[in-house]
Amino acid sequence: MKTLADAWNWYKATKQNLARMQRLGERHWGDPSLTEASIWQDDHFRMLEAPDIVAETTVSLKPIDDLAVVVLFSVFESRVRDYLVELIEPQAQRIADPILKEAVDDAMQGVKEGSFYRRVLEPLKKQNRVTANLITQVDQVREFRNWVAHGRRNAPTNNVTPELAYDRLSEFLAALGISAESEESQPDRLNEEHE
Amino acid sequence: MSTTFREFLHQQAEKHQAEVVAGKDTVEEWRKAIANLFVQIREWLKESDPESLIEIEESQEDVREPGLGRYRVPRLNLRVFGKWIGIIPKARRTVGTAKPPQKSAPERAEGRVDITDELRRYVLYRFKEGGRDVWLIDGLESPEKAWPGQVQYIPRSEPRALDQEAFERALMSYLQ
Repeated sequence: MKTLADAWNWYKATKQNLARMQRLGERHWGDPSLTEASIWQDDHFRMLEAPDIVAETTVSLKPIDDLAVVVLFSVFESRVRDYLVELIEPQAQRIADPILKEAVDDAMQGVKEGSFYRRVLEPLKKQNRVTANLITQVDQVREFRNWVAHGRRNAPTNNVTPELAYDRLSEFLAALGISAESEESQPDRLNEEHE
Repeated sequence: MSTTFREFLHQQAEKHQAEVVAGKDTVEEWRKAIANLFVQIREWLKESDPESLIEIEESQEDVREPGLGRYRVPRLNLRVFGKWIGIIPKARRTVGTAKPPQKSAPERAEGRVDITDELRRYVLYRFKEGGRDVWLIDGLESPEKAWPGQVQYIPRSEPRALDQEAFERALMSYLQ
C-alpha cells in the first residue's frame, strides 16, 4: 500500500468481505436447502460451522476501524515525508559550506524520521502551506493513531473514524499537491476514459 | 405508526417467539444427547483407566448458534501427563454430513462434538436412529496438525462408528 487510496480500498474491501462472511454465517451457512451444495465437498469448508464463522468474523471486525486509521495515517505520513524530502534534497545538495551542510542534513533527518508534529506539521503551519485548522484536524488523527498503536490505554482524546481520517488526510495531501489516488488504478481509469 | 408497520412488527414478534420456543426444545434435546455421550465416555474411561491417571473435569461451554441463540452445554476436559484434551460440543445445527450406519446416502448430522487439543481434531457426528443416538467419529485415519494462519481442515476419511476402541485410539494419538 503506497497511497491513501490503496489504504482506503484495502479497508473497504476487508470490512465489506468480513461483514459478508459474517452474514453468511449468521443467516445462510446451515440452511437445509444447501445440504447438497458442492461447498461441502471442499475440505476447507466441510467442517466449518456457522458459530465459528460468526465468532471469527466478530473478532476480526472488532478492531478493523481502529486499525484502518493506523494504516491510513502510516501511508499518509510516509507520503508527506517523501514529498518534503524530494522538495528539500536538490537544494541541500547544492550547499557546500560544511556547517550549513550539517544543519541541512539535520533538518533532512528530522523530516525523514523526526517527530511528525514538530518537524513536519508545525513548520508547514508556520509557512502557511496548510491552514492551522487542517493541521489541528490531522494532528487529531495522529493522536488517535498513537492511542491505538500504544495499546488503547485510557480514553482517546478524540474519536476518529476511518472516513473522517481519510477525508482530513486527503485534504491535507491535496493542499500540498500530493495525489491520494492509487497509482495502480490510474491506467484502468485512463482505459475507461478511452472507451 | 401505520397499520401495515404495526402488523409487520406483530408478525415478526410472533415469528421470533415461535423460533425461540422451538430453539429451546432443540437445545434441551441436544443437552441430553451430550450428557448421554459423556456418561458413555466416562464409562469407557473408567474401564480403560482403572488407576484414574486421566483427570476428568466437566465445565460449561458457551455456544452461539444462528437460529438457536446463545446457550450453555457441558464439556469435558481431560488432563494426563501434562497434556489437555477437550471434548467440546461444537454445534447442534452442524453442516457436517456422514453416512449413518443404516442409511445408504450421507445425511446432515444432528449435532457435532469435537475431541481436540487445539492442534488436532476428531469430529463426532450425532445421528438419531430408532429413537437413540448413534455417534460417528471422523478424522481417525489421518489427523493433521495445524498452525495459526493455516486454514484448518480435516482430510477426508470415512467416518466410522464411535465405540470404545475408536475413542481410545483417538485419545492415544494425543498422548504418544
